[in-house]
Amino acid sequence: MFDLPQRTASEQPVLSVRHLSCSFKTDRGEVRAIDDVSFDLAAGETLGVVGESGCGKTVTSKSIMRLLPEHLSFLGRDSEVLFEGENIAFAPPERMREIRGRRIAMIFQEPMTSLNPVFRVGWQLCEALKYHTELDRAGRRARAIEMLQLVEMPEAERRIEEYPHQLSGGMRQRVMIAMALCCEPDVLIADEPTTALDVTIQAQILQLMENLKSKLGTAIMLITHDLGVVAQVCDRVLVMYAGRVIESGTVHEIFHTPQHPYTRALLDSIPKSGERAHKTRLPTIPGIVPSLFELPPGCRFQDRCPLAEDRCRDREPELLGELHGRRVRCHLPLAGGPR
Amino acid sequence: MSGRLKQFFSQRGMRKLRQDKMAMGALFVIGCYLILALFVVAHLPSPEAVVMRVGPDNIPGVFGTQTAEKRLSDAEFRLEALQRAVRTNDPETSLAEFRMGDLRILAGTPKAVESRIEGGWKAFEAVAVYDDIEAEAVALELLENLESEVAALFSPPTGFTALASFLRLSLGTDRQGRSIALRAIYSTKVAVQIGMVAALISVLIGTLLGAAAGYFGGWVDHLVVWLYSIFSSIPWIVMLMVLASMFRGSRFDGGLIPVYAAFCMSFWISPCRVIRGEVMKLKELEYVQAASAIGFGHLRILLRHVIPNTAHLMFINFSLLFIGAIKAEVILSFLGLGVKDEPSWGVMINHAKAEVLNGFFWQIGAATAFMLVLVLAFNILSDALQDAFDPKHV
Amino acid sequence: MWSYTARRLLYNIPVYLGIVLLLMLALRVNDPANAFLGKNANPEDLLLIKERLGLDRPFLVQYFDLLKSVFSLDFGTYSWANEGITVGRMLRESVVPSLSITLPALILTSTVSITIALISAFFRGRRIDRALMVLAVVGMSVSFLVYIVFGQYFGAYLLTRETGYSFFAIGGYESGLANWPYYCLLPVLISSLVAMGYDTRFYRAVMVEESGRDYIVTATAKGASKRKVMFVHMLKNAMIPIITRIMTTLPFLIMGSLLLEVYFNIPGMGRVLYKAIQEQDFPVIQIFVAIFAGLFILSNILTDVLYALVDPRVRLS
Ligand SMILES: Nc1ncnc2c1ncn2[C@@H]1O[C@H](COP(=O)(O)OP(=O)(O)OP(=O)(O)O)[C@@H](O)[C@H]1O
Ligand SMILES: [Mg+2]
Repeated sequence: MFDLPQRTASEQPVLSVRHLSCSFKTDRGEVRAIDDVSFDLAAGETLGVVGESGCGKTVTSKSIMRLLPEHLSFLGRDSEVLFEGENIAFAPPERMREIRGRRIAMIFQEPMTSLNPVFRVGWQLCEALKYHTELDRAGRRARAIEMLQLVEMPEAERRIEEYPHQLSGGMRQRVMIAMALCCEPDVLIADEPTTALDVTIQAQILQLMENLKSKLGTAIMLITHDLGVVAQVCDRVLVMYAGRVIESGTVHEIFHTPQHPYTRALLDSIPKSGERAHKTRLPTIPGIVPSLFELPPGCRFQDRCPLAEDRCRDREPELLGELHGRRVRCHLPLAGGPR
Repeated sequence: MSGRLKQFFSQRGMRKLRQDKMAMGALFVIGCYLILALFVVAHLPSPEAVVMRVGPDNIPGVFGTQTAEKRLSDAEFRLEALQRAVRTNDPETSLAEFRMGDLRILAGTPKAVESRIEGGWKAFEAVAVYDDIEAEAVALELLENLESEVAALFSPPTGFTALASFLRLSLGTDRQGRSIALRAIYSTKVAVQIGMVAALISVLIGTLLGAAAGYFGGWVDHLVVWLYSIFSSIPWIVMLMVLASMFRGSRFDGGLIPVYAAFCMSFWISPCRVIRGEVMKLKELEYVQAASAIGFGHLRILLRHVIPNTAHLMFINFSLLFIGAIKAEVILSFLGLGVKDEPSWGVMINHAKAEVLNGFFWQIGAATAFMLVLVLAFNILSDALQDAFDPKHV
Repeated sequence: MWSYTARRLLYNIPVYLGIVLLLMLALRVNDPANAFLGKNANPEDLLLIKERLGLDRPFLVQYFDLLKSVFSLDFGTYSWANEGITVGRMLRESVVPSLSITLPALILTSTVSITIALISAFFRGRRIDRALMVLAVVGMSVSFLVYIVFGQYFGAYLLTRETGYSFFAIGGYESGLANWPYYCLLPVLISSLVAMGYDTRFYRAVMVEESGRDYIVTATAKGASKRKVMFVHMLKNAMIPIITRIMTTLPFLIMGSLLLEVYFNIPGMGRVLYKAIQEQDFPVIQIFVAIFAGLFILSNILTDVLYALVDPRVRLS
């Protein structure tokens, strides 16, 4: 179907997420936005996270970096975020400060609002360097320009004197990427870094991330709507649905032998002409995602599943399989998955 | 219109409001004040009842202990009042008609009453010779004797009357011996009246002008913006002073009309601004566009589709302006430009200035407390309204 | 920047012309000379006084006259109630006392309430935040007059009686910096206390709103401490509504200082206007109100300019 590059990942994961769950306090009571999410991310590996809008991708990544508003959200008690073996899910703020920006960095979904409108671009770029490196003012400036050149920002010297509103959307996204990469983090979480951009720039930016990965050995968690992108750049894939991981495996496995009917439906609705595939957005599947407030007993996908039978409505399936290998959450997996 | 209102009340915001316990408490309190105001309208229709003396000046309320001095002057006050009644040309009727609050005099011929008053005065003089009554037990005993003697002149109050006379003195009296409790209650009516009228008219004017400006745009918009720029450039207190001088000598001088006029002139601005902005947004909405495409008249679209959708802003502004009006009234009364012929919380606080320096806090305390509870309730309600309907608001 | 300022100035000129027009019309509803002299005035006096102020001339001439004197800051008209004193002199003498209350009050109120708002927003949702906010709501539900009455009682009266030393005057004013704390500090404190409830709540709301923005998350993700995020990233953004707020409280302060001036017998602009109204001193009323409105419009323009200074989006467009 696709031309899938084979990649190998090193053994030791930099980031292991275990039983991560996160709830929000809302007007209508507490709601659990993600539930029992577990996965590993090895150095130099790219993990793609896919799923429909609202399935909890952003919440997962913000939970890892503990960026969700403290007064509105909380992590489940047995959540673990192991960064190089250290559990940072409940680490004190001082420890988190050392990790954020330096060890784990994040690119956000909305480049238009994620930059501070009243500070110059250069200042914002230098900020992380100020916190995490010994560089002096001139050194930080030089590094900022260097980073902007790295992300192929035209006229970098001039641009750092400008304010975010003077930049185009693509340029802002480049600034965001430069900002995330300037301290050479071990893990980069990229939350739909290309959604706001047009297709040619998308390709450039993906290429850029690819280069950085090979140069610095950064582990990347790439959240995206675009299955074409996943096929291009990811090693492993995590499929989420309504706050749960429903399937995971290598790109090859997921694309060739999807086991969950949802994954299957996603892939089926991609137009088959190969060269246009990378432009494809996450396709639509009939039916709607259940509201997190009114989750049905049993499988969360039951209403939209063509294969659903009684037990799917009674009992939610476990996520079966090995953490590092293939996993699927289904009573009736396709292609002979674990039952 | 009613259908739209019904729709409004079943909205999500309304549901949220109804779940808000604080807001419901505040509404309850506001309801109590409204009932109190209606009660005043029904039972104290004229301010006369509250300008009457009910005791000596500046006696503290029930929760404070009376000084012997005040007790003595209370007795004196009652004896004098009776004496005046007896010494008229027609003591029979004046005694029969004698009322002291709800107290009436015990039946008896004028002669008998007069001799008993004489007895009272004797007892009074016996006490009055002491300089410091509280220091001497004998004097205190004599004082009690005097009080029982005076009390015997009146038929003991029962039932509702007893309650009423207790209430009357419950918060003490002001410098002219008038009941603070009664005046504070009466002022509730004045406050509610001023708040209602000022807030209602301001919101109406503001909504109409704001909706017209936002909907029609163009020169209408320019005109309205120019108007509110002008009116918001004159502090309302200054505006009121100008108005006061404008109305001086006219029929409305001293009444509430200049007060209303000044409040409305400066209060209409904030609803106008907010609603203008909201209508500009609403105008772009599909169903409004659709309505105008179908060929509905502008007036009909405005009245049926646009203005009802600003109802929440009207409520919020009403609540805020109500507070504004009540608080502004106090300041006006202090400057001598506000309410003149009736008591109001502002008038009471203004009168209490001198008392405070003598360490008498009952009047200012009562007025402040009455006002605080009402304004607090409205503040809480405004917050809840904003939370429920306009969560983005700063 | 300069062209921006000039544009704001130009925009406000028709507004000011409107104000003066309305004001002059309102003040002429009742014949001012009649009102000043009372019902039994003799016609000669009336004519004289009218002539002196030019009230007998056509309205338009009077209108331009007033505008001219406002724009040239030349107020040579004589007050009616105070023989031989020009309005200009009354103005000059009352500006300093007014400013010595308004300005310190503005600074004190803003700094204290912004600080409290920051504390509250920093500990958002915690007990200290809730306590501060309850205090603010209760504080703003009490009347201005109550603050003044009790402020004077405790600050000037009780304090003196208990300590035997007079820290604050009960009222009055004397010029000179050395006299400032004695006469003006108490009114300033009262004025700040009154405004505190409103301002704190407003500033907190602004900060809470700003702290929910995406760029705050970005800054946190870069490793900034909560304090850095709040005091650097958020505060600079919050400056925009804060400046607007400070500027829009100016009229409130003018009004507030009017009350304070009347109560504490401080011969500021507010008290002069108040007395002029009581005495029907027409020239004073007319010019003072015109000046109040002018000041207000100037403060509006200043707001816009400051706004542009803080927000690059406005400045550079
Ligand atoms: N602050 C919040 N309060 C309440 N619920 C929230 C909050 N933030 C997110 N959620 C809920 O969490 C769920 C997951 O949201 P999330 O932003 O992670 O989706 P997503 O997968 O990133 O979607 P998209 O592809 O649109 O970015 C959603 O149902 C959303 O309603
Ligand atoms: Mg997202």
